[in-house]
Amino acid sequence: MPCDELLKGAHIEPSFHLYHPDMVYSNPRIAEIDILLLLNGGYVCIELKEEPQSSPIDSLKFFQNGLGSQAVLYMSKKSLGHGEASNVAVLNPLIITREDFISEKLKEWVDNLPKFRKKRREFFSIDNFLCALLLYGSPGICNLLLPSKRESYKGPDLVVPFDRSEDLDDFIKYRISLIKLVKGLTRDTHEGRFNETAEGEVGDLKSKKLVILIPTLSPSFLKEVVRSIELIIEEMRSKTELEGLPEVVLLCTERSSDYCKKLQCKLGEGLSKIKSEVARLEEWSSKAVEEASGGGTILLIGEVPKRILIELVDKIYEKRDESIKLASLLWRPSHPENENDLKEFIKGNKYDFKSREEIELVLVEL
Amino acid sequence: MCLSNSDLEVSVCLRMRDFESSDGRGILTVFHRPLSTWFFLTTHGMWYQDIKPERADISIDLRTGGTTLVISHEQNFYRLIKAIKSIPLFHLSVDALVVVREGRDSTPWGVHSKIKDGEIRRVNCRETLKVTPLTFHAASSGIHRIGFYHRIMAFQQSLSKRIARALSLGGNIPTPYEIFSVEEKQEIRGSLAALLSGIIKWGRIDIDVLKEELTTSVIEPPKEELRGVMYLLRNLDADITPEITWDRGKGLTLSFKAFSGVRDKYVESSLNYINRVCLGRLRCYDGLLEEFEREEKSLGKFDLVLDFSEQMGPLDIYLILMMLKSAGILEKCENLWLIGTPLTYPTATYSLLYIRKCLPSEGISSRLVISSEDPAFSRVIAKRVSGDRNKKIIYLAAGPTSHVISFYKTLLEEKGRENVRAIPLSPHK
Repeated sequence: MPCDELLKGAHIEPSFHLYHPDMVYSNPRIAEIDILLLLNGGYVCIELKEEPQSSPIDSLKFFQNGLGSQAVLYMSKKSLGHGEASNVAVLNPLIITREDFISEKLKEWVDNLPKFRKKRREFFSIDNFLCALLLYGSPGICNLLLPSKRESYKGPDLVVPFDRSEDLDDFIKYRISLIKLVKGLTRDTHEGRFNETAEGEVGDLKSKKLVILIPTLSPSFLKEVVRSIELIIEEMRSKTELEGLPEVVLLCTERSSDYCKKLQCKLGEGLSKIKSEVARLEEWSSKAVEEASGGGTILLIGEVPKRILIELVDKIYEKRDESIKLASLLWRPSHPENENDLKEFIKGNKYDFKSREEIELVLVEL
Repeated sequence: MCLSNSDLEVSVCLRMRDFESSDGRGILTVFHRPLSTWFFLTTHGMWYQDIKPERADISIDLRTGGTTLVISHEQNFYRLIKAIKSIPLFHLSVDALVVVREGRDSTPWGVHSKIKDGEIRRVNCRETLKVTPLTFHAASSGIHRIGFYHRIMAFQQSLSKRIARALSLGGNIPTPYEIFSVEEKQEIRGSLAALLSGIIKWGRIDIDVLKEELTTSVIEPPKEELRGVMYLLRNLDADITPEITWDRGKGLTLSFKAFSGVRDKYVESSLNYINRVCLGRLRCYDGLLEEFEREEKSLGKFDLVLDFSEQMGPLDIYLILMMLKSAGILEKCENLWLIGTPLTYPTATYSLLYIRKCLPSEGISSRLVISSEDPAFSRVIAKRVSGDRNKKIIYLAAGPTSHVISFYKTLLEEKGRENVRAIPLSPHK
């Protein structure tokens, strides 16, 4: 079948990672996707390789499309010479060239890429789960979680909120329609659109004061936290350039004071308005709300006891102070550096896929 | 793997109690048979497989904690093997996986498989214990944070009745193992064998791997306790049922009569370790009954929202239902929303099965909700769950930090302070 025919109605998603479901806390990747081609009733995973003939040696991946195991396609950047083929015993290691693959469809997709990625960033935790369903889920499970409109049985067994598609964001609806397409649960091509503007852009901090609650942290997480807060402060500094330096308050307990000192030491350079305070857990919510009054953001990192979380929300609600913001550090895909590479590749120019989508710890307003 | 005659008495076999769900619709299709439930949990809720094997056993070596998964099948032999080979078994980690064909002298899987077939036929475990799918899954679960939690979850589930009794909770709600018609003694021994085997493996985990964990809730591996754990596993005799006591403010304590006479510092430290990792979190239920009783006087019809944590399982559902019953408010509960995230969704789904089986179909409506840490998503969920503004919601908060904040904040905005009661489920008092 000609490539253009195959791509008709297909969804193409370039360059992303799938994380194990506990990626909320740690992030070992379980799949690296160069290009995912989603078709009605299945999908094809495409690896981009300089020398695809030998690639099965370092990249032997098999994926599931819900119907059977599916070998990976390897794409060569140049036309293959006469008689060239894989030397490795791998099930149908089909190799195609870029020239065969490039189509108008791919070129059109370049325009959708930035807004798609923006939305994936906003809904990353749930989208990662939906992507796992897309790659690994059986049609039965997908049908159970994401029933179609034609599903005759309606009742308490339908999973909330997927039972009411009208409540869902267009991006989520679009992703669900792709899953149904791939799993053969619908004959329609994918429906829905995703909005061009994302609400609640992550990392967009408008406050001038940051009150950070510091519980006990694992050493690895502390390293990530420091890196992330440095970026947040840098962003605050650029926004408040005309009004002076941003103010940072670190709130810790006796037990977490060492972590606090490390953090203060790292962040303190060039930041005159930074202070730390040791307080009992019972005092955290009052002190945090007091410090953040008048336009501050309370940033929760790691595992803060649930009691403190409830107290914080209660106190802010009772004060009716909408200027106090609550935020947390969450894993989100970084804006990929290779986006331009990808566009160049689709245009038929050079490509370099050394860096795929990575995740970073960013501030998200709650 | 070659087992000699002396090996035959050093292992116990776990086998799932056979059942067939009477209702094949919706969520119950997943739990149609024990093996499909195991597939669901092992694949992190990505798959279920409706194949009925002749035999599915997990043999636990009582000397080493090593595990062998033995699955046999007569009909559609290739189908089962292909399913196991091709689906994403995210949580499966056994030391050996053996697939055998019952009742045949030859196997189509070549000489190597034929030898294995012959070897495995000679395995004659000391005893076969009939257990729930959760315990079976626990025994086959991976050696990582979540796998270890699943083992603890299964052991906690087996102690349901004893924990409820220690907390002075009365009522006739069936325990999670009773809905599968599993005997308490067998479930306790099976889940304890799975737990001890897991602790031994956890004790050998690369410490650098644990350092890379980004959460503080990782259970520390055993050190000198390991010797005592080995002793407990080797002496896992028939009369192993533990006693549970509750000291208000301090939590629950477990003790084994069978080991009370053993004066050995390693055994004592291992028992302390088991107490700490298995019962420590349950301190969160200290005082919850009183909270419910305080609500009782002013409470009309209400909805209960349970935000699942990664360590919660069927025992938590059982205790909460028992407490609602003891406080006299279970009948006033109209909707029970069980909120899982992508991480907790498999065990939350399994717990929903338990709710469906133990509560009468009329009365309380129970729903599974999949939420996430994304505030834009959890706000939609909170609005949906809010329902009638004037009906009270009791929100039991145990989920991830960001979820608790955005979810509770939205509940307050939707229903007002007077109609939302948030109770943190946390062992830190």
